[in-house]
Amino acid sequence: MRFLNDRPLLITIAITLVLLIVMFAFGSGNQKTGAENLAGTATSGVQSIFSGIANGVGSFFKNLFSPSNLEKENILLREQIAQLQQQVQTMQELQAENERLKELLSYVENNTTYTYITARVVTKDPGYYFDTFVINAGYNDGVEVDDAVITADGLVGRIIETGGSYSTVMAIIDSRSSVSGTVERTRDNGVINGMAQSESTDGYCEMVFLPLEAELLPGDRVISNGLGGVYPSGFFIGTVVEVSSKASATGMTVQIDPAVDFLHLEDVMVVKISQTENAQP
Amino acid sequence: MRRFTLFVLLLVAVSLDCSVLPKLGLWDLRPSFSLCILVSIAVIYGKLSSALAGLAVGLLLDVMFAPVQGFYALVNLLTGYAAAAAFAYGMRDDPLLIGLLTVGMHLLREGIAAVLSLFMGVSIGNIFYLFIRYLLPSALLSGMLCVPLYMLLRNFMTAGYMRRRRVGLD
Repeated sequence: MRFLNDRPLLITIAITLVLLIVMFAFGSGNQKTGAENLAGTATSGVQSIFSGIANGVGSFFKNLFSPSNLEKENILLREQIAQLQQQVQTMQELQAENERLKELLSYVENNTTYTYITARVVTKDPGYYFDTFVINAGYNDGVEVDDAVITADGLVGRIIETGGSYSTVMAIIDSRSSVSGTVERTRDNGVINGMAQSESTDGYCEMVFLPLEAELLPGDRVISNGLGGVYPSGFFIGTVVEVSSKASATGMTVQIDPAVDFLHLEDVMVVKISQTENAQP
Repeated sequence: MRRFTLFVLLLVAVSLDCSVLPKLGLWDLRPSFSLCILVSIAVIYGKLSSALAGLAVGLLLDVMFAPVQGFYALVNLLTGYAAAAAFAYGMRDDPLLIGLLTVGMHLLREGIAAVLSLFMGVSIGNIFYLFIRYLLPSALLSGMLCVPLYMLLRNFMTAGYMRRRRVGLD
């Protein structure tokens, strides 16, 4: 019973038991308490500084050693802007035609409008078992738990915890994440689950519960369909990578390459949804 | 003052682990500055100090990332204590041995986190591949990082006002 004389060991055991009770009895809160908020704000503030310095240093060396890339990138971006402007013009025409046709049919619809809160990724989970990161926007900025998070490339994840000036985001590649999605071309529905890092070295997700007779092709786009009420519909999730994948009694499973580059994620947008019913005469 | 200085060191280390290292593109390897400082504290100050330092590191991480409250606090508390206990069982104050100790503690920390994750129902995939591809190389990097860091910290932590007053706790 020598360990009874080992005071550090006894203190460690006592704290361990308390932490185990806290972990399994209280779980994880969605909104931070006052003390957690204060600690989190201070910690995220310090980490913002380090993140900013790291970004600055990285950009400096990147531009120093490859200045010609900036010019090429500039030309490419100008071409993309021109294409996007053309697409916007086409969509505006389609939208006007859509409005005219709805008016003719006396169509009653729910208008969903999105507003966006921009934020920067401050820090990432240092472990291998969870894919979460912290952004520098919290409930003081209007962010709420379960808000979707996107970038210009596609769906990133959702807010799982909020503090006053920071929030924690769970990425769609996290093994705990599930997103209801639809294959854009075939309209087959399924669920996109994140995969453990050791199961998918390329950061892929898997889409499950697809119909066994679904005829998917590599390159098929997958978008969110709004089922489940968490992620809004219409956001690009990724593309089908492998079609000849495992099938089971619950459906077909394929691998999805997420649209977002999670390794180089810097700026994101939190989506706020407001819905109004608009009855057409 | 000593506790405050150590806390600031740990805060800076956690910030480096979470904000700077992910941007370096080390083939997704994740050495840990905070673990190096934790092991240094374990060697210089003993079991109780390293356990409490681990608890502090874990609480800082829990505020940001905890899947459940107390997850990282428990992982780092046990790692801090284990580092000091392992050193106390006949290790010499040799930077290379401290580096090896850091490798072992990195693997222990990841092992504890993996076990807790499994209890929570989180899938960790192929544990063998995870170990070979990510955990072992990250642990070796942490060990290499700890050697020069420990040599710097040893001089710093045992100088002047940082010297610990022996009050018979360890």
